Amino acid sequence: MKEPGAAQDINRSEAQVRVDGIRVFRAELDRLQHEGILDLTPEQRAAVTAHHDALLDRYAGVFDIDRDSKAKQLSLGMRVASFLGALALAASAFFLVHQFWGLLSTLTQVAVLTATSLATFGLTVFLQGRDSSGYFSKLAAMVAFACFTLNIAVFGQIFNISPSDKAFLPWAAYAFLLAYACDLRLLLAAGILCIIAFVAARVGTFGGMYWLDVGERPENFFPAALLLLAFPQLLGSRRFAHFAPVFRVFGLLALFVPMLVLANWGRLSYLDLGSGIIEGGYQVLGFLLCGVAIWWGVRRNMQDVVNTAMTMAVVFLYTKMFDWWWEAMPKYLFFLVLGLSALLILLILRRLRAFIQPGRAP
Amino acid sequence: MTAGWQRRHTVLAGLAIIVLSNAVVLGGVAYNRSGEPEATLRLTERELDSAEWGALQSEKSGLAMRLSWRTPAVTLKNEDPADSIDRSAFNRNANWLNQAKLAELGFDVRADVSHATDEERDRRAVEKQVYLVLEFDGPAYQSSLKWTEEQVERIRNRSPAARHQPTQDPVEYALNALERERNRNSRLFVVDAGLDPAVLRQKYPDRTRYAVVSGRVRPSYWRAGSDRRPVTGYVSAVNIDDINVPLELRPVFEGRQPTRWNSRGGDQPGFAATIVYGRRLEPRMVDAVKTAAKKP
Repeated sequence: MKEPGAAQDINRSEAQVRVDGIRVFRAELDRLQHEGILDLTPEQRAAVTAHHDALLDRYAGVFDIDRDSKAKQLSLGMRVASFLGALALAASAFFLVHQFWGLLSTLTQVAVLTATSLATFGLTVFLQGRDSSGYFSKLAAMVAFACFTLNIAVFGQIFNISPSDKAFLPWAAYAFLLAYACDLRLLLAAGILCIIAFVAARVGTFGGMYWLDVGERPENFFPAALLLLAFPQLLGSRRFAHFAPVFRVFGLLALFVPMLVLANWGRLSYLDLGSGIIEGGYQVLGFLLCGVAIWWGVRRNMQDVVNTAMTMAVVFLYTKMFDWWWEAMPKYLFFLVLGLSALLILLILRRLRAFIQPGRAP
Repeated sequence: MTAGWQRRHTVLAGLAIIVLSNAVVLGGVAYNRSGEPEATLRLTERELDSAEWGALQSEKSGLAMRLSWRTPAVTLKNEDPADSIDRSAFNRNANWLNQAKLAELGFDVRADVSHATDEERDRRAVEKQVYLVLEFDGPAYQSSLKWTEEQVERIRNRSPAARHQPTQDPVEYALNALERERNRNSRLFVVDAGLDPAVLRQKYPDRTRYAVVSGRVRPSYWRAGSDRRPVTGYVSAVNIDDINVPLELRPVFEGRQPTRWNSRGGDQPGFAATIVYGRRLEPRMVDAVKTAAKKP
């Protein structure tokens, strides 16, 4: 029988969640004992403590997790350093190519580009097997993705290849592979952006436009948005449950940002109607869908959906208020109205919170 | 990853993505270069300009030349001939891109009644990818030269009171424009468009004068008036107009400044470069030599 919480069953993120839970549990248990609510026998207390200590030791050995809040703060700094390091190394690779490229023959250019992609991938896999903290392998994964993107893009320049949206497919595949292998949400986001670009470009092409002009008809992004929102529902993984919010947030952004654009520039729509009608329609639809998303997020306990939809609802509201009143009102009055509307939103949300948590004072 | 996914699967998947992507790209390049060239054009410094400019130029070692192309000059009603000449060197509007041609290319040429002004209709129009015919030093250039000479005559025949350029004698201005048209402006014109490159090649069989390339056009509602239909179109782009210079040909182009931003660009040495278009209509430079620039 496998031990519950065995290290081979979970990844680093899940281990960290468990460790954080153990820390909170210990603090709450002490508080309950101090208040006389719960009194474990010494044997029970020793058994729980021994079990938790063994888990913490095992997770620390395998995943290099943060055992306390101080370690957590340092980890945040390490994550920032890892991200900035990856950005800097990727920029260095780009400018290295920029500076010395023209001095190499075509055959050498091809060899260098392909070898760099393979070498950085090899380094990522090597580090992933040895780096229990994950910071170095994540940095290597980001650099590997940057090098592979440069690989394909620079081939296009060397050989004067027609620009094609199909390049997004291998980039997305590679980003997803590295994201899941190294548990890296930043690369997951990069892969998602590639998928959005590809799907929108394809939709635009089917509609008869050139793929690079995809932004001239924001409705091109709606199919990608629906795909991203459906993905975690259909193919979600328990082991990568923390990836689902990334899909949902980008799905909502791919839905609401084009709607916001169309609510202000109706002439960009596929619909053959007057701009005023289109703008009004998308304004109403935008508000309605924000409401539906908030309801869905609250119902399914998806904080990411609630936050994103709420933010977009506020942006919709404020852009409309700007359109209606910026020119018509003195500026002090305009900002007063904005402030009062923020208070109104707070009151509504407080009512909503009381409604979903019955028995709690509004 | 999911249950059953192991590290070796990650290795295999990553290698497959990298190797396959590179193979597909390089395979496409090999296919483009195989067989007989689709077209071979011998272009000069008039048709190829330096593509290198910008803040990072001092650290850039790569070199590319940009195709300088235009469409045949369009004379607009009531337009000052000096303005027409100004526009002709970089013209993108095309009289041959009329309503019938736009309809043939798949554009909707019905009246746009949903939008109030030509400006709105124009801003709403989207471009479409098509195949373009580039003509080098052919009838379009001869017509352009003749047209410029006619504009010069119009300006000469105007009364002295009708001056367009208060700081320069308009006749001298027009004569300078004629000199540029004879010796410096590009002789590469976009003369036709279609959806099937094979049909275009049948119509323009001379592969040393005509190249079929991919590009984009869009309809224009400018001056549509009460008709509210696209009157004409313009050629928005040739998809590949930057051509990489191989290492062995760099000495011919090194040190060149872009002439479109440099009024002294004409003082630079001349060159002749052979551009070959392959089966996927993608160009490459196969040779280049320096020549003496033509003196005015």
